[in-house]
Amino acid sequence: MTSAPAYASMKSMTTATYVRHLDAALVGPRRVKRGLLREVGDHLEDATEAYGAAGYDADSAQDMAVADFGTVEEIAPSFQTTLAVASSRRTAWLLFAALAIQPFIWDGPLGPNHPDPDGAAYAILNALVEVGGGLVIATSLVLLAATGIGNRWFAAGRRVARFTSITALAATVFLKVSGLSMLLLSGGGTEPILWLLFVAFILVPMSMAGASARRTLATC
Amino acid sequence: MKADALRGHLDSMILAVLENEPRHGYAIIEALSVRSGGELDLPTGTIYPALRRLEAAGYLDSSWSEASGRKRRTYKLSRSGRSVLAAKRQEWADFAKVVGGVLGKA
Repeated sequence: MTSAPAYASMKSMTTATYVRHLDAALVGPRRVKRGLLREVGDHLEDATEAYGAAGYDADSAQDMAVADFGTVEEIAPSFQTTLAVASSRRTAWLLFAALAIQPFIWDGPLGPNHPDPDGAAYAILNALVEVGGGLVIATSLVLLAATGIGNRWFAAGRRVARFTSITALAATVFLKVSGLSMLLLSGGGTEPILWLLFVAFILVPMSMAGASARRTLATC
Repeated sequence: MKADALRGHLDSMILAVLENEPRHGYAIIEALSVRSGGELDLPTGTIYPALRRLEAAGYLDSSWSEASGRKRRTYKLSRSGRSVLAAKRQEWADFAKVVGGVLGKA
């Protein structure tokens, strides 16, 4: 516990004000942030009660509870890292989900049964998408592991979050562009069903993953 | 004792104070303070990112529960957490034995 003189130099701040300042200093997934701030509020209430029970007046008890917790400048960076990792995990999930369904849509029983055209350009794009898509699926699984169980061996921090968002941004742009190119090269540009599939299973999911990646970058 | 040396073992110490019962964040800090004899001096807010990291690693489980009219997030050791705590204890005992053996004699 803080001794009275130690906190005397700090500007007086209520616990509610502290939580507001911390809230303003953080960027990240709303649910995770809300949970963290709720815990902070609970902690400060408990600490204030403890100081009150020890005989300090209400204002002093709040000040000391806040002083023990650490200034917003001290605490916010580690909280921000937690939010960055949570955001990157969501991005990795969205990317994985967006890619994992592709083979089922285009090559499986749900596929449009549209024959692949002849031509080098289509063949090259097809190969790039297959290899690239496979690599991105594998990468997103690795990133999910890194931000989860991987914490047993190293703390997943903002570098992992940054890598996730850059990978996701690059992958989503590449896949949208190549998907559209393949659609046009295959002569399917006049078939409404193919456009519907492209929008529903490439454009929308990739855009969602890309938006999440941009939000993750903002948390880093 | 150097504060940094203690902080380096924060994860293990958090697991240890959760061994016998689930606790919420403030109770964890209090238990750390009591069991370290007041030597563990760090901003108490730093515990929450550590708790989230340990949970992501699968060593802790958390849940929201109501206590005294307030919703609190409570943490408890998972099965993996218990295993790693036992391993850390053994590591520390081995370390202390070796270093103590060398430093113990003039």
